[in-house]
Formats: sequence, C-alpha cells, structure tokens
Amino acid sequence: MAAVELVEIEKAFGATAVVKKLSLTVREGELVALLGPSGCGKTTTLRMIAGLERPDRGVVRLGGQVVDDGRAFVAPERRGLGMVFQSYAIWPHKSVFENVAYPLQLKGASNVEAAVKEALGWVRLEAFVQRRPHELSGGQLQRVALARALVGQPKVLLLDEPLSNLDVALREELRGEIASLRAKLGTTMILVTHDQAEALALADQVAVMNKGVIEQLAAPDVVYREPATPFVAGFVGGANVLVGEVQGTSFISEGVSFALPAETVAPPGPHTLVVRSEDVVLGAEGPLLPLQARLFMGSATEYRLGIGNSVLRAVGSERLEAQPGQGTSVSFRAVRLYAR
Amino acid sequence: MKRLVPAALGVLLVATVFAPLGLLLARSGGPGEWLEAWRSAESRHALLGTLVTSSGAAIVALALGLPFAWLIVRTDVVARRALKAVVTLPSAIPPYLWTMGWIALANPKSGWLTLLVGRDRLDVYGSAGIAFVLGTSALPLVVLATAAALERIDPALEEAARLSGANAWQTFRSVTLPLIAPAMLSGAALVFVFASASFGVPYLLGVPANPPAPTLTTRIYAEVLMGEAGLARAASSSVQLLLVAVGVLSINAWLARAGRVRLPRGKGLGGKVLQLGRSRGLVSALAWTTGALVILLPLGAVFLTGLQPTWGQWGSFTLKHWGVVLQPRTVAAAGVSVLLAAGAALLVGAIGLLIALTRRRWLETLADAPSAIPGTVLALALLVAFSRDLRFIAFERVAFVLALGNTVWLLLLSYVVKHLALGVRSASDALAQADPTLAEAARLSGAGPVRAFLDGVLPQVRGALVGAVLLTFLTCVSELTMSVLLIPTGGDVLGTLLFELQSYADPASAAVIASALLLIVLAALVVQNVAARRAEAR
Repeated sequence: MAAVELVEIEKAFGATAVVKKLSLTVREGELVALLGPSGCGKTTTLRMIAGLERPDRGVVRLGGQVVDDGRAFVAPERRGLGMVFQSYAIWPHKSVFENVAYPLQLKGASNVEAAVKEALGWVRLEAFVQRRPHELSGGQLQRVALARALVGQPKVLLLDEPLSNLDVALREELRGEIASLRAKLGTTMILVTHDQAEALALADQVAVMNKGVIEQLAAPDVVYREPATPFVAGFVGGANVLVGEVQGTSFISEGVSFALPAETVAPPGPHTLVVRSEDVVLGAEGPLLPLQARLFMGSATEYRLGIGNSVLRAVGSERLEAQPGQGTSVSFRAVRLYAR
Repeated sequence: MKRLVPAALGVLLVATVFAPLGLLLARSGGPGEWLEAWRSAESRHALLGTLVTSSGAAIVALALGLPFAWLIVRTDVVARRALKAVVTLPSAIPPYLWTMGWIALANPKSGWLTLLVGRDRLDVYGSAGIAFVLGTSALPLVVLATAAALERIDPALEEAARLSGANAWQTFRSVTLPLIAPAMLSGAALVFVFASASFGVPYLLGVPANPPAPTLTTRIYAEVLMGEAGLARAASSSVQLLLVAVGVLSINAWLARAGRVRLPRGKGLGGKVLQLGRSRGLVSALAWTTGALVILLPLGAVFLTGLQPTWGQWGSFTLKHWGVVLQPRTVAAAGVSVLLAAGAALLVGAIGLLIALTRRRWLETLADAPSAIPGTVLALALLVAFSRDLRFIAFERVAFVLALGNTVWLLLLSYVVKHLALGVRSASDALAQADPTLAEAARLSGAGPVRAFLDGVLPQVRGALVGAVLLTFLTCVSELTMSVLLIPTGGDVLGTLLFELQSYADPASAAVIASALLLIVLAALVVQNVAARRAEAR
C-alpha cells in the first residue's frame, strides 16, 4: 500500500503557479527525494503532504486515507507525521528532553522518559538530555530535531532541506546518520533537497522537479545514467547541454560540427545534445575549440572550452599539453540526444 | 578636548540631576523618617494606590495588547495597518486627554455612556477608572513589544509543534506564548512604571472620587502645595515613588537577562498570516469595535464636549467655547509651551548627539538614567535644589548668581534632562549603524575633521535625530506632570492651563484647547508618517 499518494495536486501563490498537476506515489519503507533548484515547488509539495499548505486542486492520501481533497481536511497534528526543518526549529525555551518528549506528552504516552532516551540514543545524544538548545551546535540541534520527529514513530518522516544549514563535514556525517536510522527503523521518508549528491546517495527514488512538475522519477542510477530530459541531465549530472542540429552523423552547434559517436543514431533535425564532462575527450580528434581555463581539482582536472558564448566543460585525469589561449581538439565519447 | 567634553557634560548632568536628587533624599530625612511616614495611614494609602492602579494598568494593557498584537501580526484582520495605527496612537497623545474624554463619557451623573446604561451604573472616578485609562493610554508599549517578538519567531517553531501533534491552541500555549512572554512582560513592566509616574490621570480621576483614591504623585502634589512644611513629607513620598520605579525596572532588567531566550531569525516562509476564513468578519468587527471604543471614542468625546452648549448636555452643538483659543491667556500659554518644547527638543537633539559622539558608556548611562526617574520626583528634586538662588564666587571677586527658581528656565531644564535619553539613544544607535568609511573618504578627499563630520557622518544620523527631536517636541508641548510643580507663579503652559480649566473652572474650554492640541498632534503624526514613507520609498 502506498504510504503517500499525491494525485494531480496544484498550488498557486497569487498569480504564480508553484506546483502544476503533480502526481507522486511513495511506497511504504521507501525514501523518495524531491530534488530541484530553489523555487521548483519541492518544499511546497512537502508542505502540502504535511498539511501546512493546502492544494488548490488535487487529492492527498496518506496510507490510503484521504487527508485533503479540497473538502475533507485532516489537520497536520492528526496526520501522524514527523518533520525536520531546515532551520532545525528546536524550541529554545525547552530543554533537549522537553523538546523530544513533547510529541509523546501530547499523545499521553506512558514511559515517556524511556522512549526519549531511546530516541536520543538513535542520534547518539543520550548525554545531552538536560542541555538547553543554545548550548548545542547546529549539527547537534538537527540531530535533536531528528529524534523529536522520530520519537512518536511517525508513518512518514518529512525532511525539508535538513542538511543545508550545516557545513560540509557535518553534512556528510548527518547524511550517514539518516541512512543508518532508516536501515534501523524502516521509516518511510520524503527528503526535499537541492543537493544532487544528497539525493543520489540517500534515495530509493529521485523525483527531479523543475518549475512545478516532476521531470523524472526513477532510481538514482537511472536518473544519473539515463536522464529523461536535458534539464535532468544538466541539473543532476552537471552535464553540458548544447542546442543544435543533427546532420547525418554530425551534430552542429554554434557553427561547430562534432562527429557523433558510432552507436548514437538520430534522425536529422533540431536536437539538444547532452554530454557529461567526463565523456568529453580532448586532444585526440575533432574540431578545435579555444581552451579558456584549467582548474586543478586534485583527483582530476577541469578544462573549460569556449563554444560560441557558452562554455563546454571537460574533466579528465590525464595531463593535457594545451595551454589556456590555445586551441584543442574536442570529441565526444558518449552523448544523449533529445529532439526539440 | 577628548577628555574635557565628556567631563564637562558629566559635571553638568551631575549638577542638574544627581546632586538635586541627593538634596531631595537629604530633605526626606533618613530611614527613620521613612519608617515614620510608612506608619501614617495616609502615606500607606497613597503607596497602595500607586501599586494598585499601576498593576491594574499593566493588566489592562496586557489583556488588550496581546490580542491586538497577534491580530495585527499574524492574521488577515480587515485593515491591519490602520488597526495598528489606531492602537498605537496613544504613544503620541498625553494621557490626560483620554481622561478628559472618559470623564465626558463615563462620569456617574451625565456621561454619554453612563446615560446609555443607566445613571450611576458607570463611574470612571476611582482606582478602577485610573487603571483602565492608564492601561489604554499605555497600550502601545505592550502592543509594539509583543508584535516585534511575534514577528521574530521562526514559523517553523510553530509548524514543528503542529507536526508533533499539537493543535492550534496547544501550539499557541506551549510554543508561541512562552516565546513572546519575555517581551510582553517587559512591555507590561514599562506600563507599570509609566502608570506609577503619571500625575494627570490619577489627579483628575482620583481626587474627585468618592472616596478619594490618592496615589503617590497626587499626594506629592498636595504636599508641595502646603509649602515649606509639606516639602519634607513630599520628599519622603518621592523616595517611595522612586523606589517603586527603580525596583520594577531592575526586576525587569534582571528577568530579561535571566530568562533570555534567543529567538533564531525565521528563514522559511516568514510573515505567513493566518487566514481567518469565515470568522474574519466577526473577528475584525470585534477588534475594530474594541479599538474604536477604547481609543477613538474618548478622543471624539473631547471634541464633542467642546461643542456642547452646556456641559453634559448631549445632542446640540455650538462653537461659542472655541473663543477660548484666542483669549490672551491661552495664546500666551501656547506661546510659552511651543517655545519651551522647541528649545527642549533642539537641546535634546544637540546634547544627545554630543554625548553619543563621545562614545563613553558611563556618560550615556548617566544621561539615560533621568528618563527612568518619575517626572514628579525629578521636578521636586529641581524645586528643592534651585528654589533658592545659588551664588558662586570665582577668583574671590566675580560672583555668579544662579537664580533658576520660579523661572521658565527650570522648566526647560526639567524637559531636557527628562527626555535626554531619547536623543542619546537615537544618536548612538544611528552612529553605530553609520558607515564610518564615508567620513574617512571625506578626510582623504581633503575635508577637515569638522567638514568630514558634516558631510560624512551627519547625513547618516539626521533621520534618527529629527525623529527624536519631533517626539520630544510633541511630548513637551503638552507636558503636565513636571510643569504643575515647576511653573512660575502666575505663568501657564498648555498642560497646566488645560489642567486648571478641567479641574476647577471650565471643562468646555478645556475640551476646546484639548481638541486644538489633538489636531496639532494628529497633523504632526500625518506629516511624520508621510515623510517616513517617502524616505522608505527612496
């Protein structure tokens, strides 16, 4: 049975449509990531699942039950969800214990103390039970937020950009924490993020969103290897996107003609070509493009080449003789073509 | 220069505020005399009166202020901005004007509201009336403090509670209320101090009450009127009043430090308002009726009182009382008030800026302190210190005689020191935010230090300074509490003239002058608002 089901939900703020006829099904125990740039409607979608925002049209179901269809509405506190916010949202006037105990106290649960201890154990904060929030670091606060969201054993855990307020090291640490909590508790989770690495690392399914619609919903490796649209390719893989035309076995963009790899077959006509930076081969064959910059990144080096007014990026581990300002030959190892 | 200026300012403040306060303390005798005074029933009665009416005012302001602040910040109540303007209006209008309105509305014999509900059913005279009028005229203190706190709460804090299983009311009680409580209570403490220092309201409503409801301020006034004999007792009452004010402010400061909860700044969807939906009409009607009743109606009553042929006779109108505006005594009083207020306002701005420029914490604290001293106490201290001429002899030959007693200069001095904090705070806040590189750039462009200050620094603090000067002017032009004690014999300022007409002679004329004063204040507010909005638009 589906843990969460959205059927053609729509939401506009004033004249701006933020979510457009969006449908999504999340199975029990699954972690689905809503991935996209800011303003793509991913947080609004999450807030509609939570009941903090109401869709203009469409149906929201939780565990098969309608919680919002425009008439019937189940208030957020009665949906049995847990939520972690970007700003942590730890109540500053309550201790760590009081924060985590709050959902249990509202339920009138017995044995609150033991349950709070257990939840704090999940996030390795047992020693901090009596601390006040202002004594904790950002990472610790977010772990308290995780414990608070999980202590009531919610049917679904909603994570709204939970890691984006943390620095890189902490972000990776907490990412691991979420993965191991999931393995331990089996909770269904929906993660909103603009960080593709986070989405790919944690999710069973990634929903890539753009301008209020889901452009692709698939497993992380599929989204990465077989992007359904140029947007997904550009956003998830950081691939180069070239607009041009297929003529025979060549692709012409900005007046430059590239040979298409042998296995790529496409009808002639206007296309968008997507090529990963690691699939751009330099210094072997093909047209000459001016090398604009060379950025050493440790394990690899990034090269930036000028094409028209835009930039083609190539990443490789082998050293290239060409110096910035000189031309270098460019060919593609593998590409994807999308008809325009 | 660097040391001379702060030192001179410090000496000036000590000589004009703290030395007189010391003299007042000395005049009140010692702890023995204070205990003696405490044993008299009359003295206890006045202290109790102050405590009861001030607590009552704080409760009234809290009870009205919290719902108003919440509606204004968090809901789509009809005409939010206008509602905010209405409930914060009292900050610009002297409380005794409200008192005059409420006397017209709710005196037990002929009040307009009294007649609606039945003669003698409503009585504004007495402790309850004093607390109510003081509470409503101090409403902005609670509304503004609470609204600011509500705006600073991260909405996610409340949403997290909803997701934890709390309904809207539980969320308000367990998250919102504890987070805004410190700001609310601190607002209420300021209401308490404001109420305990008020003179006009308890005098107009407490003295004619049956039985009389004395407070410390009205008792001090009565004792001063008795002359030399009463002065010692007045001084002793002043000590009590000062202790009440300082005590409450210290408790407030201590609570603020002990219970400080840092509110993280909201990031998510800040400023999200609650849609009241079907109840929007009802809630708005309720809010606007309450606002109109406690704020606008009494002001309207003041206008109407000035238009009635006979006091308490509602329904017919005349302009005959408006002649009072042109009477020589009124014109003279208005002239003195405007000159004094303008002089005080400019001095507050100039000295405030000078003190802020020295960047000495001790000096700022010294200049800040008099604003916390009740006006009655400050005025009495000045009266005690400067009632006799002071002679200074320099170089054994030249004698200076400082004869401030019984002159308007003493009044000017009291206005300046009482409001100096406003000038200092505005100037030092503005200076703290000002970009110092503008002055440095001016220096490097070839400007001397004075020119660099005028071109680089002054334009950045001018806005704040003009605001402080305007506010000081508005407060001083209708000042009553200190003026009744310090006014030279036979002279008048607007406040004392109004006060005399209202309490002894001619309430209709008083209402006319009050109406004129109201019109001026409202016009000034409109001008200030337009200027602020234009500055914002730029």
